[in-house]
Amino acid sequence: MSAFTFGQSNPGNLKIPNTRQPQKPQVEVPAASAKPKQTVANSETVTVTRVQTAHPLSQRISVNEAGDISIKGTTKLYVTIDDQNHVNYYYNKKGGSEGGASVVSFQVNKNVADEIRKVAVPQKRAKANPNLPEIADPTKSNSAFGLPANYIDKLEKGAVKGTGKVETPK
Amino acid sequence: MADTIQENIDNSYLFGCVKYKENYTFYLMPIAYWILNHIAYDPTYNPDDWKDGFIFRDNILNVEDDNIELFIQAIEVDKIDIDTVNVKEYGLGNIFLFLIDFDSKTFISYFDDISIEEYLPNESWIGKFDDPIKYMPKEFVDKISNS
Repeated sequence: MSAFTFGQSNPGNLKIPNTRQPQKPQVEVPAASAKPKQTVANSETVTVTRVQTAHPLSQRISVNEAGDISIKGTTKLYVTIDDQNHVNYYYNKKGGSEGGASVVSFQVNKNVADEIRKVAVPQKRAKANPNLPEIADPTKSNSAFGLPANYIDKLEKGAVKGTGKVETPK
Repeated sequence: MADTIQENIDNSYLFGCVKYKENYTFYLMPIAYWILNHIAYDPTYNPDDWKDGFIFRDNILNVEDDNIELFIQAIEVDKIDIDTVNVKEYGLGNIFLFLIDFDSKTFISYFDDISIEEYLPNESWIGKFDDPIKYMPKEFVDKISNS
């Protein structure tokens, strides 16, 4: 439990390494069976990240051993696109690994991210636009979104296979 | 007839309670409606920029002492009567995430994805990230909780 009073700044003081993706991320593409993994430069993907916690509604994205992701549920999924500072901020706020938080990330085709940014509406407009992404926590990030079911589906389909990972930075 | 409650749940509306003058009233609303201070939360938002006829919360962007009743009026459409709605059948206990207590100026949020408990009307309020069920009288806990 944490308490805030008006105007109080983020009390989290844990530090985690900045793992911002390079401008042109190197995406590991698993090759067939016994062949060595291929690594290809890919400027057509972006990093989607979600901080997940022990909260009963939080564990939405899972990553299997092959690095493929699956997303559970159809209610709004809150993710951050290419904003490692926001991820660090929220991970620390949730107590980091000691607090049971983890950082789930994967690469997604850039066109999916571009569409989300283009059509997203302020959260206040959600009633009028239930099928559009909403802009989340805009003073903390310009790239955090709540995705409705149709965009969760696009995200899942646009995810680059084998790029999912779960991290618990110290 | 369409099941509006289920439709709203499917559209990610969230369940919570407003306490005002010792009365507990329940609402199922989108996350934005639970945020008390939108001037702090989303300072660039200007209602005049939107011409589609949709008005957010009667344009009450910060819920302060002088507009509490207007706020309650604005969210009337989202009120849930827990004596007539089958709370357990809808699973509303799973998404019971907020308590706005205007009497004690305390805002409890258990919304894990955004720290909306930070966006308070003024310095006289206290915001906490915690399970609001802990702060509810037993008579309501029995009706809301799934167990």
